[in-house]
Amino acid sequence: MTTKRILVVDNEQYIQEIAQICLQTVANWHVVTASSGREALVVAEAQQPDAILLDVMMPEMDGLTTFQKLQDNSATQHIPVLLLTAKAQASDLRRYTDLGVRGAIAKPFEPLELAHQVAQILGWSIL
Amino acid sequence: MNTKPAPLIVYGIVVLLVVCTVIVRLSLNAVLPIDTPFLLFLVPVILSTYWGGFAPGLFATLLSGLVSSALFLSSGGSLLNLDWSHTLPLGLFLAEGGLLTWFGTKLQTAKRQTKVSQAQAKQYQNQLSDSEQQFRSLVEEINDYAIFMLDINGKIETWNKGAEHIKGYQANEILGQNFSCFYPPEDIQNDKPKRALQIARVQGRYEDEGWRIRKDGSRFWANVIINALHDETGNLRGFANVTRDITDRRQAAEVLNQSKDELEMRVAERTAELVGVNQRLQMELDERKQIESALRVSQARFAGILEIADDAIISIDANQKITLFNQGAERIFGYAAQDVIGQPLDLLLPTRIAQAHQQHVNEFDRTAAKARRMAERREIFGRRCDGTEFPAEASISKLALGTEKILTVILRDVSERKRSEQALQDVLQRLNFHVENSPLAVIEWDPLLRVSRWSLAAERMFGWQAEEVLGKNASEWQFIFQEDVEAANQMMARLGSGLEQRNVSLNRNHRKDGSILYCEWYNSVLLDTAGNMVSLLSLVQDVTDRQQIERMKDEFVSVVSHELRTPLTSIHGSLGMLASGLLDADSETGKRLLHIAVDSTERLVRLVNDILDIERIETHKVTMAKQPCIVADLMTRAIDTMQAFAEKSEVILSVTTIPAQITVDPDRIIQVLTNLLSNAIKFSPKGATIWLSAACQEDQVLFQVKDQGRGIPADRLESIFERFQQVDASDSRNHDGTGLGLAICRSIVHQHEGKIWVESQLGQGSTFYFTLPSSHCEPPAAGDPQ
Repeated sequence: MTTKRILVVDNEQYIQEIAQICLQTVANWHVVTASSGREALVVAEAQQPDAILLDVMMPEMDGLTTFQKLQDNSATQHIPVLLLTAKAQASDLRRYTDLGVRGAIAKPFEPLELAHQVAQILGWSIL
Repeated sequence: MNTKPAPLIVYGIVVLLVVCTVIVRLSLNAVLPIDTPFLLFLVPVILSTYWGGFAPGLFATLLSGLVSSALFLSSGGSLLNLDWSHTLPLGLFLAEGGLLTWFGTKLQTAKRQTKVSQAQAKQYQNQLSDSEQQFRSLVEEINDYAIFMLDINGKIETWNKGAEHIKGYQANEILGQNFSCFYPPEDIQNDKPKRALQIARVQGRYEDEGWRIRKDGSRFWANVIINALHDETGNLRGFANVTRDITDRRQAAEVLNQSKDELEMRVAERTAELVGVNQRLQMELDERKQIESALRVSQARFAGILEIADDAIISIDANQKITLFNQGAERIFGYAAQDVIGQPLDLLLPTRIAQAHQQHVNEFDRTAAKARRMAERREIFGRRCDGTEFPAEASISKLALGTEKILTVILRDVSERKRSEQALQDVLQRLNFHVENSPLAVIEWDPLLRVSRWSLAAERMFGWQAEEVLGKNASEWQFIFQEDVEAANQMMARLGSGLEQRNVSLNRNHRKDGSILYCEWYNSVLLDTAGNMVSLLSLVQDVTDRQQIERMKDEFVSVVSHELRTPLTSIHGSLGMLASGLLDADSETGKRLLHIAVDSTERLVRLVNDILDIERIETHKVTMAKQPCIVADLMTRAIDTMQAFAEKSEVILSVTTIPAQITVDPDRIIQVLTNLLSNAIKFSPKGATIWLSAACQEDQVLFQVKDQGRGIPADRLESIFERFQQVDASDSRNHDGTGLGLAICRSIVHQHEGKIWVESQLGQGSTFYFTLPSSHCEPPAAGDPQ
């Protein structure tokens, strides 16, 4: 199994960093980051990550808009997207999955669990 | 039979005959056989019988028997010696003789009788011939009856005078003609003559009355009898026709019949007329009875009604003296009838109007009108026995009976009604007042959901005047926000159908100017007993502000939640990783995580402080510690605080101050100034200048913080003073702001009864202004920079 490549998108620098450290430390995944939706579109297309972890509340282009744009692009529409959001209640989750999002993880996230949550949603195994 | 010969002669002849026969027999003895002596003796027997009858014949027989027996059969010539063998022929001879005698006698008798009959017949024939002759002459002479004979085919055989007279034909003209020539052509066509003969033939007689034709072609009404005539053997010989002219009789009978019919008709008509008249009379009688009884009932009823009516019924005569005063009047006025009858009407009127009233009554008396309502435009009053007055409603009517004139007043005490009306009026007035003055718009809808009431508040709230919408359905003007129309219609339908008696709904409505209001509708419906809607009342509250506040609150909670979660996520994540032992705390990564944790904690503390601060200021939990301060001092302290940051950002701070004094909380005002300076520094490019200045303006000091930053879009100039309303949502993160700075500034300035605002041009820079009241502000001395 090749090493998974994850794109973490968050306008908060610190959260990008922490997510990156968590995923690399726990699952040994390779993590790339983007600080805005716009940047994420470019990085996703160029880097073709195995999954995208996307913040919802971002300035300018929010997470859901970004997700739509990823879906509209044939180069990125196949990449599974998980939301990283403070709004992760059951009703919100249903709304997201209706849109085609694979899953949502609540903020603040558990640093040791983050990778496992992603793997579980996507049906991956962590060595 | 003519003459009978004497018996002696007869018997003598008989003896002679027998003697002759003996002689003949004796002479013939040689020829004739001896054993048949008697044969010749039959001759004398027959002759004796023929001439003499029975007794001589019988005598001849006996004599012949004795003689022949004695002469030819006995041996001694005596009868005593007669041989018994000759007894049988003798006996036979005697028997034959006897029989011959008997037959001869009978024959003789018959012959005699025939002769007699023939003589009689001849006699009768002669008699008949006579009588026929007589009859014929009789018939022929009859003048009034046509009597004629017909043969079996109807040919006329005889013709009498009557026939000539009646039919006009002479006998020689008509004999041999067929009698059908007397019949009219129509009868001939119907074979009537033949049928007449047929009937006469079968029944023996035929009788008929009908038209017959005379020789001259004229008609007469005839009575005709045809009798069949038969001869002695019963064969039809012909017919006898007897015809009478009964034209006169018939005419007389017809006239009689006609007059009889006419008479009968007249009688029938007259009878019918009489029956009709009788019925009408009966009906009129019944009707009159009914009317009389109805009249009696009606009179009784009217008398009763008049007496017990609630209204006062008072009649007056031409002199305005009371002539009738019913129970109602007694009750209303308090007088007994016997006390007021004959009194003037004025007794019942307030003295102040008695005079005028008298005139009114007189005027009415002179008008042509029969009845009138009194005081159509103003109230009238009555006066009771105890002197109290009461409002009344009355009508007056007049009735002329011969020369007498009666005026009747029907009057009702309406005090109670007036009170009720007044009470109702008061209630209505109060209700109307409240409806019109309620802060809620009051809108009433009729059963067809058209506006029937539109209160002042509704006019204010929606901008439409009542006259613009009354009678209109909500769909007829731009009233309900398009997206809400369906829900509003459903809600109205639920009420209209009685499914709900009341409900509360929220929808958007358009004002007349096109703007949109959020309205809460409190609806109730009134249904009649059949369940049909009578009216629907809506109380409407404009909740646009509340709606905005709600939305802002939601957003605020969401933002605060996000603002708090962001540093919390960083802290939780970094410390969690460090605590897991998966990382070495001394490694680069470990140190970085620790830094993130500390920095995020500081941010969280600032945020919490700012939130608490603004909350305390706005809810007056902290009071402004106001004291007299020198404006310049405050500005200097603020500059001092920010100087290091400005230098770090490579931004120049320029200050223009005034020697004015203001009464403020110095720490809070410095907080405002540093906040504004901090923002200016954050958004200024390197090398830019920031100007802080103050100026006196009448009773206030105007502060300005001007930068050369990127500027603020025009639509955000107001909202940036709201909490977490940075121009760019990422500003707070990028510039360490909490998004609450300007909101705090505004709160502090407002607490000092000042104002704060911003003017800006995108790309050129922004100038924040705020004012603080000052009673001793002096314009700055010229050229006094510090």
